[in-house]
Amino acid sequence: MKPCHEISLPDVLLDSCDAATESEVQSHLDNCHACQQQLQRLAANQQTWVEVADHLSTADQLRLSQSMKQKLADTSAFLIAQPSSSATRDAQPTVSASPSLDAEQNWSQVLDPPKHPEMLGQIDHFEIESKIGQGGMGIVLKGFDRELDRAVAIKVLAPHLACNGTARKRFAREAQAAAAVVHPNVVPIYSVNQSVDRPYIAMQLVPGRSLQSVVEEDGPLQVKSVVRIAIQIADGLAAAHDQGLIHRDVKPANVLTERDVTRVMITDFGLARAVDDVGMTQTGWLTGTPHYMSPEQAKGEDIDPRSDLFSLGSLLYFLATGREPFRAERSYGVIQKIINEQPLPANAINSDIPPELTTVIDRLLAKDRVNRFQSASETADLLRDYLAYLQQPNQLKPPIKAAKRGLTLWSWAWLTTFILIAAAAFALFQQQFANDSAFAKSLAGLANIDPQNTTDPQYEPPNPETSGTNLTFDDDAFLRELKDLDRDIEQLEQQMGIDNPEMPEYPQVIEDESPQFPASPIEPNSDSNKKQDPFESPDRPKSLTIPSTAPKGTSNDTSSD
Amino acid sequence: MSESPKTRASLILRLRRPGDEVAWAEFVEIYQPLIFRLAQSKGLQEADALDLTQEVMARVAKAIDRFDPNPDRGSFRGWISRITRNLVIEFLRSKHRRQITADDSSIQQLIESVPSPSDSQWFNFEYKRQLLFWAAEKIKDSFQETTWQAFWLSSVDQIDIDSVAKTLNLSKGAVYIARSRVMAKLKKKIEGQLDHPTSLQPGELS
Repeated sequence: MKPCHEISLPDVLLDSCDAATESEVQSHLDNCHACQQQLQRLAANQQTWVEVADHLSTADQLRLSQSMKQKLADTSAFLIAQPSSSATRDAQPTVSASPSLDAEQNWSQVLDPPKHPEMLGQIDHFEIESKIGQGGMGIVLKGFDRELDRAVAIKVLAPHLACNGTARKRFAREAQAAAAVVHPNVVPIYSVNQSVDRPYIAMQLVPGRSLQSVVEEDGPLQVKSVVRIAIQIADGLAAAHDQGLIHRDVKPANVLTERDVTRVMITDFGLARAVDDVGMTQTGWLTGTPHYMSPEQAKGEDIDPRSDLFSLGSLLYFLATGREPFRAERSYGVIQKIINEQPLPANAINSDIPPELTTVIDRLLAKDRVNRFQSASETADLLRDYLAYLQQPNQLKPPIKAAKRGLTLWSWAWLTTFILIAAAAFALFQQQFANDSAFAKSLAGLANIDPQNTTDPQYEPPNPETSGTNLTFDDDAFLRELKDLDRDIEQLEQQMGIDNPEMPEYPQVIEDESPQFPASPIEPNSDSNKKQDPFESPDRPKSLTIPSTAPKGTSNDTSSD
Repeated sequence: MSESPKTRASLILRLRRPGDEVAWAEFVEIYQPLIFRLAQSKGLQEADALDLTQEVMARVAKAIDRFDPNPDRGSFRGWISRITRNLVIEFLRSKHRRQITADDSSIQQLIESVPSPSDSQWFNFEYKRQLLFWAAEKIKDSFQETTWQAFWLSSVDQIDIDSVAKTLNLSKGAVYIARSRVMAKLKKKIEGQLDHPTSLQPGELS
C-alpha cells in the first residue's frame, strides 16, 4: 500500500488522475481512516454534509410531474427569451416548441413540383436532386443549376426561422456578407434569395465529407494533417474576419473536405446568428450542438473574431483526439464546462500529439479571449512555422513553446540547472559591467543580442515566443511562468531531497504528466489510421506556403532588448 | 483546474447582464417552483398559482436592474419573497372584490396567512432545499449510476459504508471516492448560486 503522503486526494476528488493512480488511491482508502476523513473534508465541511443529507432526504417532495414542469416552464419561457434586451426582436414568433420536428414535417413543402421525374422538386431555376442534410437551421439540398450548368448545394432556411422576420433578414444579410469573402478555404456562395416563404442560399457543392464525418469514420487525424487543416481554417477565418464577418459556429460539421484532396473549406459563415435570434425564444437553449461555443458565446456576451478562435481550438482538439474538449450529457452541462472548466490536455488523450500542438490548442481554448492568439492570421502564421518545423525537425526549432506538463522530472532537472547556470552567469556579467555606462550603452546599441546568449552561447532560452513569430512578449504571462517555475522547482526539490532520494533510478513523472496516461480512452493513432488519413497526401495545397529559406524561427533573428 | 467560485459573478450580477440566458435559466429553474409552492401553500388554486408565479418572474425581470445587491439592503431571496407576498395579497384582494359573497373574516384570514417576516425562515429553508434538489438533478447525469447510488445511499439514506460497498459491489475506497466526488461537485454547483446568506431581519418584509 502506498503511504499517505503519496496520495493526492484533490486529484482524486476532481477525477483528474489516470486509472492506475485511481485504483491505487482506492485501495489505500479501503483501509486508511485518516485519508477517508481527509477526502470527505476536502469535498465539503461537516455541516454541509449534514445539511445536504437533511435537505435531499425530503427532496422527493419537490419532484414535479412532467406536465407540471411544462406548465411552469411555459409561464416563464418569455424570461429566457427576453431578459431586458429584446429591442431588436420581432413580435413573438409563431413557432412550435420543437423546431426540428417541425422542419422535418415541412421541409418538402418548400419545393415546387419537379419538372423531371427523377428529380425531387424545383426551387426557382434549380432542379433539386436529393436532400444532403438537415440541421437546426434548415435543410441542405443537392441541386443543379440549369442556367449555368453546374451542381449546387442549396441551403433552405427552416420554415420556423423563415417566419421570423429578424432571422430571415439576418440570414440574408449574413449570407450576402459571406458571399463577399473570396478565399480558397471558404465555400463560395453563388446566390442569396430572401423571399418570405422560402429564403435560401445557393453555394458551391463540395463533394466530400465534413471533418465531423472524417473523424467519426476514420478516427483522429495525424498531427501534420491537423496542423495543415488548422492553417487552412485559420486562413479562411482570417479572410472573413478581414471583412468584419465572424463565423460564430466553427465546428467540424461546418468544415468540408474535398474528396481525396487535402483542401478544406469552411461553410455556413455567420448563419448561426440567424438562429441565435429565435433559437433562444423557443426552448431557452440554442439549437444545435454547443460543444464548440466560446465561453463568451455561452454566456451570451458580445463576441468578436476571437470567439471563432476558441471554437477553432475545440475543433482542433476534436481532430487530434476524436472527442470534444467539453463533454457532458446535456447541452447545459457542456455550456457550464465551457464557461468554468479546463479540458484535459489533448495529449493526455492522444499521446501522439506533441506538446507544441497541445500548447497551441490550450492557448486557443483560453477562457479569456485576451489570452488567446489575437487573430486568425497570427494563428495561421504560427502554425505555418510549426508545420515547417514538423517537416524538418532537425533543421528548425519549434516556433511554439511546449507545455510544461509535457516534461519529465529529468528534463526539469536539466532545465533548472541550465537556468541556474544562466542566471548566475548573467548576474556575474551584470556585476562586472554594470558600472561601465559606456559599455552598457554600446551593449544596448547592439541590436538583436540577447544578453543571456552573450553570456552563455549554449543557453537555450526556454521562451521561444520571441523567436520570429508574431507572438508578442507578455509580461504577465512571463511572471506567471516564473511563479510556476518556482513552484515546480520547489516540488522537484521536495521530491528529490525528501520523499524520493533515489529518484533518478525511476523515470518518474510530474503529477499531471499527461502524455503517459495509460488509460487513454482513444486508441493512439495506429498505422492503419495513417493509411486511411486522407490528409496525408504528399501534395500540399496551394494555400500553404512553406518557408523555403533558412529557418524563420531560430534565435538568430531574435530581437529582444 | 476550474475557476474559483469567487471569480464567478454572482447570480444577480449575471441576471443583469443583457443576454445571459444561462443565468436566467438557472434563476427560473430554482425560484419558480419555490414561488409556485409558496403560492399554493397560501391556498391559491393551481392555475392562480401559475399566474402568480409568472407575474413574480416578470416583475423580477423588469426590476432586476434596480435591485441593490448590497447585503445591508436585504437579500435577493428576501426581495423575491417580498414581491411574492405583495402579489399574493393583491391577488386575494382582487379575488375578494370579485366574490362579493365572501365574508370578511375569511379574507382577513387569508391575508394573515400570507408570508410574513416569520415566513422568511420558511423561504430561506425552502430555498436551500430547492437549490440542493436543483443542483442534484443537474449534476446527476454527469455521474455513473453506481457513483450516484454510492453517494445517495451512504450520505442521504445514511447507510453505513460497508453495507453500501457490499450492495453496490464496490470496494470501500471506491464508495468514499464516489460520495466525495458527488459532494464536491454538488457544493461547487450551489456555490455559484448562493447569494448573500444573510438572513432576513424581522420587519423587513413589512
